[in-house]
Amino acid sequence: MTLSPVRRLELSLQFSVACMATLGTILLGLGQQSQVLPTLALLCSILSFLFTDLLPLLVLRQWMTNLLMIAALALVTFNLTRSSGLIHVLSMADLLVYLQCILQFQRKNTRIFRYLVTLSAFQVVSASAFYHSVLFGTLLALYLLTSLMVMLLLAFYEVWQEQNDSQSRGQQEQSLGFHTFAGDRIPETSPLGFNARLLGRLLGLGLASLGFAIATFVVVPRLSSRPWPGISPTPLRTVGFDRRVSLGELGFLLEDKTPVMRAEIMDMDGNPVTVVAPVYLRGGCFPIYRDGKWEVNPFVADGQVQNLKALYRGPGQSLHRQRILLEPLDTTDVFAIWPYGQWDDAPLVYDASLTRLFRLTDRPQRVSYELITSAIENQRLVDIVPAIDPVIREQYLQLPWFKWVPTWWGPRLQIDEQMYEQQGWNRVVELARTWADNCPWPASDHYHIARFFEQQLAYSGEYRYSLAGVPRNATLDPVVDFLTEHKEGHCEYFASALALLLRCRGIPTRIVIGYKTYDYNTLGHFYQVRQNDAHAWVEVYLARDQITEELVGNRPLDLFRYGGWLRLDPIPPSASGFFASQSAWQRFWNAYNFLDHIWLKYVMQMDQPRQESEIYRPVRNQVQKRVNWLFDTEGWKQRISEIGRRFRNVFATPTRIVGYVLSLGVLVALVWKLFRIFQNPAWLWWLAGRLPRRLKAHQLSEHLATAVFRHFERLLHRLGYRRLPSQTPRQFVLSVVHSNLQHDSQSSWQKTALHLVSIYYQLRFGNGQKETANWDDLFRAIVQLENHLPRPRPRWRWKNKSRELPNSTQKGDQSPAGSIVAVMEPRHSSIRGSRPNA
Amino acid sequence: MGDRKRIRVHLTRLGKYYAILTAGIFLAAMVRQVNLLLLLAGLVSAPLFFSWFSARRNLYGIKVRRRLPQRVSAGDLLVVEIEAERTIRYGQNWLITLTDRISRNGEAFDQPPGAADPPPRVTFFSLSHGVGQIAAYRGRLLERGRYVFGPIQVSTRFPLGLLEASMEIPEQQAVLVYPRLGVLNLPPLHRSHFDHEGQTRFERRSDRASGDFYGLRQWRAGDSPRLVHWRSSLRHKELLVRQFDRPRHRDVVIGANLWIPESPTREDFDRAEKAIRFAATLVHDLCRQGGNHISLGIAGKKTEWVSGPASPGFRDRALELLTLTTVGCRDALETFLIELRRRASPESDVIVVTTQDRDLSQVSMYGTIRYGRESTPPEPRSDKLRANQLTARGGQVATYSVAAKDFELIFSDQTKVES
Repeated sequence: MTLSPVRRLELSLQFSVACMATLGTILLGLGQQSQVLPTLALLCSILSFLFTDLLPLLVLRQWMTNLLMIAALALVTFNLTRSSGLIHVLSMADLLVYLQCILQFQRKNTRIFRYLVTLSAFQVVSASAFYHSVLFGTLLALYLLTSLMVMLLLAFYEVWQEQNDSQSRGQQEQSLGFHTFAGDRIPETSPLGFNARLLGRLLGLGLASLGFAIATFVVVPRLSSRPWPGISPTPLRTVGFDRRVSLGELGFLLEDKTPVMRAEIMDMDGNPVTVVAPVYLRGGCFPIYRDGKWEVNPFVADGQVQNLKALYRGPGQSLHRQRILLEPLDTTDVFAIWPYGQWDDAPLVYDASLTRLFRLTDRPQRVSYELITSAIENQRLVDIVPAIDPVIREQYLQLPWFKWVPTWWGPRLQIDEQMYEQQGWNRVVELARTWADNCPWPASDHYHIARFFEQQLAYSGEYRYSLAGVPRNATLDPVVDFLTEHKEGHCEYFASALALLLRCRGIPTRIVIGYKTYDYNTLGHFYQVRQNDAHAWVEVYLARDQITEELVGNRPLDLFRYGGWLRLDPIPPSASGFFASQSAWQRFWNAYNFLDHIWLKYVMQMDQPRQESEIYRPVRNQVQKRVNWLFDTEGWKQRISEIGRRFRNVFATPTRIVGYVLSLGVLVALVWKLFRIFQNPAWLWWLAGRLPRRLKAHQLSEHLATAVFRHFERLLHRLGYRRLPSQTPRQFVLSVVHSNLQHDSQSSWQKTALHLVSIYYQLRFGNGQKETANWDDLFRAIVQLENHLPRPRPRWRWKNKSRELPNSTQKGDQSPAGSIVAVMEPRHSSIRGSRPNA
Repeated sequence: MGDRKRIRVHLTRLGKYYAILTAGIFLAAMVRQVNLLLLLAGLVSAPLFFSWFSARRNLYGIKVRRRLPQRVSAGDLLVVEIEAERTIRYGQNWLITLTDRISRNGEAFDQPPGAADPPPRVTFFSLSHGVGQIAAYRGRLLERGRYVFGPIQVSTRFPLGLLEASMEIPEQQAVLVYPRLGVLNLPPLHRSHFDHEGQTRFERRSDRASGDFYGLRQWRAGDSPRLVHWRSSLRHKELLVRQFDRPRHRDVVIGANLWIPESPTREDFDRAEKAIRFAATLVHDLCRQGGNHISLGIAGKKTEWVSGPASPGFRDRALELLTLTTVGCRDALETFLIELRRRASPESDVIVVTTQDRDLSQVSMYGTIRYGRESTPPEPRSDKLRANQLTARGGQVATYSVAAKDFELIFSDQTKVES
């Protein structure tokens, strides 16, 4: 089916508008984290294009449109009454989508198209208020191209409609004034609608627009150091960061790959540092275990909130910076490599009683903060870190089968025999004793006993890491069940078991909930942390006397005056999640994460300090450097003297001079030869033979034939023949041939010239019959003519002289049989047209 | 052509809204430091910025030619063809709109009432090198005069319709719009002048011998007995009648007095135009008949004369004079009539049309036309119909006043506009 140009234009425009509307709503949906509106927009776009634009089966009448719009407005108003704050933005943006969907089912004209464009643009503006990943940027670029296409087609459509209106007015019987002639219809070949040329222009415009937008974004100065963080409607759900965590809760997250945060580790100068071992980002720690739950110590008073202290900066202390970007979470906890200290003015507070770090605002939004840490030495996380404050050891020795019994002198800790027997804790105590007996180190060596127990759990092969839900014996405590009966579980079970086993041996422990990641992005130099990186591990308290110099390393022992905390991670190595090799998909995601990182860093979080440090200052420095270089007189003297020295070296001996001059001559000759080769149409023919057939046939054929004939014309032009504007190629060649007839028969070059012009006609106007044989003939003919036609003499000899071309008897086989008689004339002659017969 | 013309670029209405939206986004981005909005502002403003270059470049290398007739009658359909071509070898011109300008007698031409359209324009969606494209517009010019078409304004809203770049190409051509021709409904005596030559072959000869003696011939049925040359009839013994040369083609002198008062109203102008149309129709009909010698005198702002044998060439000259003549308030009727009499031979038919609502018989010189210098003018006739037809010495003299209520009976110019 052949569509008229106008119908083609209409359909192209309708299709583009449908795409643009859908993309706009998808951008809004990305911000709102909703799939409903994009799905609705996509459906409406498809249906309206099919059943309203393509087949006009479903066209809303005006009254129906009005009714639907009123209903949409009522719905949005109702939603507005139920919401407050920034959610208003969501509701208003919803109205834009509803109106867009309704308008799509109307019969389209310029006005409706404009409305749709406006609604879509406002949706994108609304979407900009939300927080977005790099996906938004990618789709925004696509949206830009689509909207440019819409505006381009709309411009054509408007002009066509104006012309159409003028035509219809002109067709009226008694019309006055001037109108476009009604009989002058748009030709079928008009490039309306989608076509390659327009798309090319559009692509150029789109790329230029992108460049311009980026330049504008970078150059326009920011006014504050706190950019708009973006609305995040639904924060990520977290577990384990409350005052209590049940065993098994983390299992909900371990299948979820949603990004939670990114951590960059740098030295104090800001250079990225790669940490070899997995990185542990600490959240909260729990000292008390009871009834399958870990919880904070209820006897420790809350409210010891304080600002973060600065870390010790002395000899032997290795400090690093950690910059963390945390996604919006449903908790105020923030995560970092522990121990951490103050670095920037991030709005964070530290609760010493809970040993947790919090952000001040409870609004779910992205936060970025930078801290320093002393936990990294030699590109590894150290296992033991100093305790900052004096430690109350008793709370870290709590055992679940002990309970507080009130007595007249106060509460007293007493064993709960029933629990101890029934819940099987006695078996745990027995197991701890057995392992301790098997341990080659004495009971007083807490460090080695802890390490031994860790290895027993991780490497004995008896305990298996599993994310699957394991049926537990309900009569037993989950940890007892894990240790004695069902020896499968995830990190929480391993960590709880180790902590309680060590406590059974009198070693203070606590369980820590946080994230452990191996996912280092080599492009962006950051660690990507996801929900499934949630992890639990154990920290063992080592008193001052337990800490040896081997454990401390280069750090001063004085740092450990309150003792230290040893990190133990008892999960089997198979569950570490570390894979040395990366699949293509993982590499793709790494690249995506890197782009997202760049996006967040340089787009979402671009502020005044970053702009100053990463854009203005480097540019300023570079400019200054160039200016200094330019006006550095000493430098110029040195450069000139250096050039002179090299020059002297080059031309030190006559042999070198000759060598260089010869090389230069050869180079010039080569360049000239190449230039001549490319001037020859045979080169084009060679190129055409290597191009795809379609290209060759449709784009190069005419051009090639024309190029060959032009070349032939140039050859004749050298001999003083010029084609008159009124002459056809055949007439021109015939006139040249006839003007050189000396004998009855034509010479070979004349026949070749006539043959060439006939092939040229066949190829150029032969109605597509461009066969390879013709091409061969054509090129053979031009090469033959090039060889046979004489080359002109130097100009100063041409003037007022006539020249008779030698015939074949004089020139041998290579010369034409006949001769061309031509009177040469200066190039600046104003005479035009074929030369008269000499 | 047109590459070095001055190109003006301005915002279209859509572009103005677009610019306001861009400014709003930029302002919001700066006030709230919304980086995404700033990026969006950059993306939105970029097309506006690049449209400026693109629109200007789109006007380079356009060659325009206009084709239109050199003359046309007022009210006739005028079709103007415009051919455009790209002179630059590579690339294309997109969405080119050519707007023609029309001025009449050096003044800007206003569209006639009821035509609320923009000035005439044609659109080329794309122009390529070496392929001339032709578009046309049509319309009607309702008033006589010399119309100048051009310069042509070349404009484009490519690529996005936000900006319109325009330049002028000094392609000017003039068209003479002749007065609209009407239909003459003259009295029978005058109509005989407009009979065609062939129709008189078998006409009945009148008794009056108005020409020179030519010869004798045999009597035919219907010949007047008075034409019988009895002496020759007796000699030849058959009835012979005399033959006379009849002057079939006579001189016609047409005078148009286009006087208007010093404070003319619209009606005065209409009256003058009607007189011009009457004279134009008269000239046109006489020239179509051919054979006559016509003198046309126009007493407008100044008095102008043109005379010559009736032919298409003379018709064009006379109509051109009528087209370009200007009405005036100079009352030079007497002088005009003297000149009229001077140019009229005794056998000439004289037709005078005037805008003045006065009896020409009151004019002292009128009698010299009518009766010769010796005669005295008669008493004023009833002005019921002042289209007098009186016999002069051989010729006829007719005067018509456009102001007369029954002028419509003689001349009708409400011809239907051709579609």
